[in-house]
Amino acid sequence: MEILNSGSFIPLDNKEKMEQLAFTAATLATEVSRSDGFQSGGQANHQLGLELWSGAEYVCRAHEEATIKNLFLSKFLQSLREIEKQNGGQPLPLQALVVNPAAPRPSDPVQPIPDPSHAVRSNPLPIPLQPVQAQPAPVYQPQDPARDEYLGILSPDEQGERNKPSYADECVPGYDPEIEALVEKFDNESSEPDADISNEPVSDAADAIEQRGSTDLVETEVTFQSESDSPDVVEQSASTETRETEVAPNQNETSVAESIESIVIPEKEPYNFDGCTVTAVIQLLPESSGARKCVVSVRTHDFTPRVAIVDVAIADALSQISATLGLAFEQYRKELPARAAEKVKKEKPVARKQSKSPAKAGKAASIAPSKPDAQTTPPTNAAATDQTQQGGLFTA
Amino acid sequence: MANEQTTPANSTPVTDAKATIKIEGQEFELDTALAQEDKTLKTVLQPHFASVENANITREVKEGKLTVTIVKRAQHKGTR
Repeated sequence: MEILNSGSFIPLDNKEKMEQLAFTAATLATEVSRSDGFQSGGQANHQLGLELWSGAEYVCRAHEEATIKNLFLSKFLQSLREIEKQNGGQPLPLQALVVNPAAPRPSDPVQPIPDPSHAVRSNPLPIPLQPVQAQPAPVYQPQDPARDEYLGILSPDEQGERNKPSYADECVPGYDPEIEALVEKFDNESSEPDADISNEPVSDAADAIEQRGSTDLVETEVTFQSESDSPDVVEQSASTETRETEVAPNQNETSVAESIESIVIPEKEPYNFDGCTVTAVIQLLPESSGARKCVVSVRTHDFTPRVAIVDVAIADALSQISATLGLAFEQYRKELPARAAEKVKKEKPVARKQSKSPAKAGKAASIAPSKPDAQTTPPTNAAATDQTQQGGLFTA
Repeated sequence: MANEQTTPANSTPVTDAKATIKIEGQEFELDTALAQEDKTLKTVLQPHFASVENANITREVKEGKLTVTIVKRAQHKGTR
């Protein structure tokens, strides 16, 4: 596997180039960790990765630049974490403590400038390095934009170039504030209180940088979030994908759909007022002489409606309508059994006729062509016996 | 077109407060005040009998009682 040269063109769809990029990031991380005075830390590592990326001057397509940059950084930081684990969790080398013994504050990490000859030997990229002055190791100041941790003091021109707005900055992926809050909540619940900062995933390191607000990446993230309401911004990156995968279970939990029960009406409703569908129609006829005629009609099944008409005063219309409707319901409730009985009585003879008519038609059709004159009486007798038998069957 | 299907009641005065409505093979009682006019009758019965909208309505008075016969008019094929 070859290391990518400075200024190489890296298309995102070229697998070989992407593998070379990952290999380059890992190699750079290895070499950086070997350098004297290197101190691993979440923010420092991220800053270092950004510096290496900008120094490499890789050429990417505009819309792929952010993604490739994130891949490079993630691979670089991952390699640094692995190296740190292999070293046994001793991020502070001995030399760093010796160089500046007068600054023992743990919150103010000491970042001595590495040996330039070693950096040139180990780093294949032509990163401009300033000669080291014979002074005590300077304290790392991330807030100073003119001073770099490993590259020395930058000229104002270079600093101006670095601050130029880039399309890649605009394409830094963002996410909704709600999702961010969920991710932070999830991280707070899952993270241990004594966990080392260097063991955080890439997205956590990015969060730490965002909170401090000291790098260019933070600025671009903020601008992207302000523009995140517009639907035009669709760019995604590896870090965002990891966030989405972490958030997905929470979203599934919150979006549990409530099932809506359907109202099922049986095909044949019983002839019971409480067990059947009751249709009530209230009609208010036009007003005449300060009152309305209210027509209330109630029906069930396919029965005829019971219609009642009352005069309703406009002032007290609702109560009178309610009383009329209640009265109509009660009367219909009383009438319903009689209506049902009458209907059943009417339906029985119809059913008998329907059952008889096919038998008669079949007999007539079979007898007619054979002997029309001689056997006229026997069929009638047979038909009569059939009818009695059928009638006995139905009455039984 | 309006009231084309209406057969006016006879000149015999209606004295019974309830009229007999015959529709779709059924009979029921209805206030005579609602049954004397086609428009009123259609308004009252339309929620329960949709066919009354285009139906032939005939009225007959016997001994002061109004009988209204509503017959569904034949429609073109495909219509109900």
